[in-house]
Amino acid sequence: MAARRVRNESNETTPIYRLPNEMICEIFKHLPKERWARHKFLASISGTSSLWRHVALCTPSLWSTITLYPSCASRSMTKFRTLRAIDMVRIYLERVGSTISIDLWLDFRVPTAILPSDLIVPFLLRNIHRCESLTIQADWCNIPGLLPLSGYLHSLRNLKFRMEGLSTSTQTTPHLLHSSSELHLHSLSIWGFMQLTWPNIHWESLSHLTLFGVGMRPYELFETVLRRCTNLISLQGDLAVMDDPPQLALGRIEFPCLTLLAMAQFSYFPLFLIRAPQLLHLRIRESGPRYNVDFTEFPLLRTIVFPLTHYRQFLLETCPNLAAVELLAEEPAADILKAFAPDSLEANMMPYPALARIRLRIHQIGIPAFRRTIWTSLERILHQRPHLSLEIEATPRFIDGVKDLFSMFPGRVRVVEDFAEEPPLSDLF
Amino acid sequence: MIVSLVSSDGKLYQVDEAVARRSGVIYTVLEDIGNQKPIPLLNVPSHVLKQVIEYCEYHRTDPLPQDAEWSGPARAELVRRKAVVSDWDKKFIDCDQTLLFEIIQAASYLDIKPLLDLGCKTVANMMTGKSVEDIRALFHIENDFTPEEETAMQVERSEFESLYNIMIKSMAGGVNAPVTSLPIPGKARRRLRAPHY
Repeated sequence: MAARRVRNESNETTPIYRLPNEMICEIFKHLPKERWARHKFLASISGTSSLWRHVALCTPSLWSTITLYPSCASRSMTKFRTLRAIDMVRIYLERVGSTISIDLWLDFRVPTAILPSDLIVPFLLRNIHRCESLTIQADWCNIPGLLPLSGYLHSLRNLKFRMEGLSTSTQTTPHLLHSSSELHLHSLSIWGFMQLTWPNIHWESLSHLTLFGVGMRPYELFETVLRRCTNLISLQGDLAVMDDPPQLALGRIEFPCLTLLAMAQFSYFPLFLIRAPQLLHLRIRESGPRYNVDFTEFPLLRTIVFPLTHYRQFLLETCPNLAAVELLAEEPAADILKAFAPDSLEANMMPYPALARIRLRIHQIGIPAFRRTIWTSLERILHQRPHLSLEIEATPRFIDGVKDLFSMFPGRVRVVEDFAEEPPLSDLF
Repeated sequence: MIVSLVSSDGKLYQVDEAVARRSGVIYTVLEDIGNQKPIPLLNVPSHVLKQVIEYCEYHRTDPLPQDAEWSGPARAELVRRKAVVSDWDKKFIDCDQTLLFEIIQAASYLDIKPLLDLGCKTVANMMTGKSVEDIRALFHIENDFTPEEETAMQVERSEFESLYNIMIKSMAGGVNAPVTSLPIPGKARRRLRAPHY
């Protein structure tokens, strides 16, 4: 004990020990976002010194993101690893205390149906009612084992469901989502190549809906569900309703609160089917057939992210509040040239007085003449708009060409070195 | 409008009101009693106050939490900036540990949330991926656990490390690689692919 006191006193003189405990706690809360890195971080900080361990163990929020990851490599190892994984979750649950805001990840991506649900399900049944957020990332074959959980999801507010592999049955997922009591979710994300019939969810309470790879047939049912989502703030997905634009029997779908609309493919869910008077951000990832978009339905639009092929079509419409535009230059070089030809980009941008930021992502420009055309256009735009800033994500060869812009317009041109560092737009809400 | 700030060692700094208002504490003082008298900052020495003022000068146009428009795009923009540490911020916070911790304390005392976040995030990043021994060496912390505590924690730590290693192995495409690596027909693959949101 005497030795411990001496070492404690020695620690008192180190700079970091001069920070009060609240500050240490604040630092710990900036733990890595990646789940795999969190474990190492938490193990390290709670084992550094007695003071840090005390602070870490007294901060329940550090332990509230829990991963159950049995990682079954083989049948012989399954039971052993599962028991260890459950022990880990127990440690987290003890430290998180009585809070119910637990974010539980069930990571069951084992490729064969060897998940020992007889070990996992009873343990989960005792704790699932404490979960506010539940993420299930599983292989199709492991879903049937989890079905007993479906009756205990009442406290859930955020549900993410991500399937791996190919389904052999189209019926298991809806059963898992069918709760004995109704779900009042705040956000629902479903990723997976599946056919979904709609579970017992209070669609009116939903603020964020993300659907990728989810079959929507019959379409009328999907439309009926969407019409009930009257309080949606963000809607993301590929919404693969059909190849041709559907004719809506009841007119356009109204989203009075929607501020973010992000589509993987423009063609799948034509924008003219939606009325969103509060829409601020529109992202479209891939190009598709070109439909006429009536931007008078989105009078507050401030940010657009879209492929360059839609460039003219979008910007020539009326978006008086447009403040930022992100151009994805992944289309054939001819389209890029067309879009950036002198007197076209500048002319199209000029009507937008609020435009303050252009983000340009360019990867496929091999012909020097095309690159030079873009450089010239960018320089002219920056000259004409003193309040405009430019962010460029491009190949080193392209960046070399715009080096002069850095000295000509200090602080206004930035190279995005690592695109991954930018948070997805959906994280902003 | 100019605001006068006095550091704990008695040095007077005159800054623009827009810069001073980056601090929640000074913002409140200015709202309550105005800027007629110098504002004493008893917990902030001059060499730290100088740094804090430099930070606030650079970020003077960022949206303030106190602003009425602290919602929607302004909030979204701030969250974006918070997630992405700019080059200037990286250079600013790249200082010796003593000053770094003093800046964190000053940011907390003056209620400058973005600076506090920047400082805390920097320290957390210094620790990320490091072992217990590395962290102790980095911050000159002595191991003050008893041998019994140390043994108990070794077991716990090995469990954590094991989970970490399994997840790393899985991410690298080891024996437990996700099934999405299996061949999937073209159209199905296209739908399954995670888009860039």
